Amino acid sequence: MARKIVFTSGKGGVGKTTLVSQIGRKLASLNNRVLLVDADFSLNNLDLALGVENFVVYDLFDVLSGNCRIRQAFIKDKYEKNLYILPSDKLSANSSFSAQNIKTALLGVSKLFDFILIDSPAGIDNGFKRAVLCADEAVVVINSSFESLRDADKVINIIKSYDIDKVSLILNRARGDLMMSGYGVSAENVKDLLKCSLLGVVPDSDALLTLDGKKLSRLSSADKAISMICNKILTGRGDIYDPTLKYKGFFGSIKRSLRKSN
Amino acid sequence: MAFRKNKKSEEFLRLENLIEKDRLGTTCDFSTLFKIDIENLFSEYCELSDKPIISLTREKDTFIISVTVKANRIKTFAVSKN
Repeated sequence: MARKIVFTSGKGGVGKTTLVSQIGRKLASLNNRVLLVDADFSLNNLDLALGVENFVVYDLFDVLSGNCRIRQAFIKDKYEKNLYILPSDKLSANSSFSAQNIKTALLGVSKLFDFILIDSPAGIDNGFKRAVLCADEAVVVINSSFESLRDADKVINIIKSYDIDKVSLILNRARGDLMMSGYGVSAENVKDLLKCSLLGVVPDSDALLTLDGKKLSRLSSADKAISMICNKILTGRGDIYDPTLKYKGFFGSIKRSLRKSN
Repeated sequence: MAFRKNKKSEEFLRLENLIEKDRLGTTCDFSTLFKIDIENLFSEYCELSDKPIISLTREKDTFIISVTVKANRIKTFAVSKN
């Protein structure tokens, strides 16, 4: 049976969809069979993040409405043969279906995959509830902004009230230069503040911002961070990427001051 | 890898207070007033050596309140029976 992990956040725009797509690709490249589900019904972008937006014929709404079988709605990723996407493409689906409907649909294909990653909408409305209740584990994506941290705390409490005990955090777009200067929130402070385990830290990276559905460069720091996250998902332990590393030492201080002047 | 804890800035402490308030569902001044009242109460019985440390956490429907008070001396007094 597949491990069902929902990626959520309180605040929007923290990078959930990008992370789901890249973590999915990385897990698939490590020989895991992965299904990505876009549960963000009305503001769906998972298809775009993976560059398959032109291949959508059926979507989750069609599956739930009985217009097609679930496998007919799957789209195979362009880069990873073990990665499939179940897109969501219709506005009208927003209020029609419950978490139980999606859960039942996913149960039928659960044996075919090792991981089912669910991209949840931001906020704590019905869409969020629907996405979270389909999963056994939750990952709350945050960035260093105080708004994101405050919202994440509320989201974590709600998820725990649904009896999902395995909740972890990914600190996205972490600025190592700011952390070194004492301005940014450090990963350790975040962990303490939100009283939640840290699955990983992803640095602020141009490589992620300019993806446009393509594969992430193996040379990028974001790729390294995502590999470490996948290792932690697979084994339950491992290191966490340290975004301050390249800002340490003499050359690091030059990099910091250059970044500050930008 | 062990991460270095950044020294908490004033802004970060503000966020900590805000999140604590969100968790407890109380107003901004609740903690301050509660601390003052607890301090006053304990001062009646002991000579406090430090400010009380109060930790309030919420676990589902229960509040867990732990108070740590350090005192130099316990005050002695008699209770009038009338």
